[in-house]
Amino acid sequence: MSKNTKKKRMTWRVLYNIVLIAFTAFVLLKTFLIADVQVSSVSSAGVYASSNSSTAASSDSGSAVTEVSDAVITENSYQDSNISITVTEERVDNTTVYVADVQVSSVEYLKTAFANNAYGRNLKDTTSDMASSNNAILAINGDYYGFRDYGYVLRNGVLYRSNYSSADDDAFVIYSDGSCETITESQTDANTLLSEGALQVLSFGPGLVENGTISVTQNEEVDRAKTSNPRTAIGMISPLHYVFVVSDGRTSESEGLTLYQLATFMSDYGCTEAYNLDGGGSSTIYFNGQVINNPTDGTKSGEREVSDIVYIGY
Amino acid sequence: MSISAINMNTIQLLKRKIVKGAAASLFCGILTIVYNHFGHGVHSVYMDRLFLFPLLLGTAVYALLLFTGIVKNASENAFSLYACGITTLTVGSLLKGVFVIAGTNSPYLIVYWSLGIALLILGAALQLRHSINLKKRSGCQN
Repeated sequence: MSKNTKKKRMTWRVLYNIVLIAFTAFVLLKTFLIADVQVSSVSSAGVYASSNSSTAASSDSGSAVTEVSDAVITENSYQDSNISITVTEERVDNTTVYVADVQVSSVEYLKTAFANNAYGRNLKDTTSDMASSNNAILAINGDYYGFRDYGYVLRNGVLYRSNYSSADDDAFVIYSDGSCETITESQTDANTLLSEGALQVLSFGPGLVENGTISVTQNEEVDRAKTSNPRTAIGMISPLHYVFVVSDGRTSESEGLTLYQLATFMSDYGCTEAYNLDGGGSSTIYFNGQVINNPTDGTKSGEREVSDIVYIGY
Repeated sequence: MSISAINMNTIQLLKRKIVKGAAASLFCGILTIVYNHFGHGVHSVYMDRLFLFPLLLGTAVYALLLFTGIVKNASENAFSLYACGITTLTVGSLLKGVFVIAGTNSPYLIVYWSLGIALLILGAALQLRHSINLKKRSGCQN
């Protein structure tokens, strides 16, 4: 074989490998880093935008928490004529669990917000920044919708995404009467949910408690992770009475919970419906202007930037 | 058919490919172990079985060719194309594993699967054509 032929073959193989590496770098950047705004200037108020002017609140742009004339705020509680929040810290299965018991007079005080007030892929901000810029009293990280291209996204009464990945994907629906339920995305169309009065749809899962019964088994986990991890969950005790739960994990002080342990906790707390949100390094709970848990991805401490939050506020 | 019937260059090429395939498989296995160590218990079948691509499509196939003697005169271009196919499928599986563990996805993964399979088929077809041409040529000479 001539040296020329061998050189030519080497050249195209090297070229092919360079193209493969370059394409792989592009795919990785596109998946993890490159922001893709699909809807800009999303109003966090959504369908509540017109009704906000009639609430008793008056916003103070310099304060993280909206000032309400009759609000009584302590280190672990918030109370006004529309919103009542009590935050407690518990130890469960060698894990620190933060529980926010929330009662609202209307579902319009339970809202969601996007990072940078825009909908799209890889748009990120910390839970505390989003909470602060939306004058949230209480906030938890959401479902990190912007890290995926599938799963229903319906926020504050506006539908942004109506596709799903697999036939058994769960979503958590909060309706205009304050009730909640876990649905299977392949069985209930997103537009149908909207016409039935859905105000928020969160898509991560799985559902933890459905109709008062624990709906995960001890072996069921997100992508086969059967280990203890930081977790975030939202639950409903009764319409307009909710529970936001965040557990620390991946540290020597706090082991973290499995999905089954989390489901058991939500059920024992009295939730008739409960749903698992994005966990791990994303798990963050914010109350009265500060992050109250210890977010960590297991290697470094601190808040991870996420796509969205669920919050209580005006 | 026996190994003695195979062209010496082809034997050397296949032996080289067997070693490279085994090394790539070992590398993928170690990569999987290291990645899973930091995965907080989240696994992906695409990551866990990554080592199978160079092992089954590479080492096993080359060993089969060597010991059965099906390919007597290898076309290096055909084998290079086939190897590019294995590399493409392995990288695709690695990315899929990374995305599953991270909890995301990418529409671009289809490029790896389709291109990888196309290169495997193209490599095999090219080798087949090369063998037929050589057979025809030797038939004409006889």
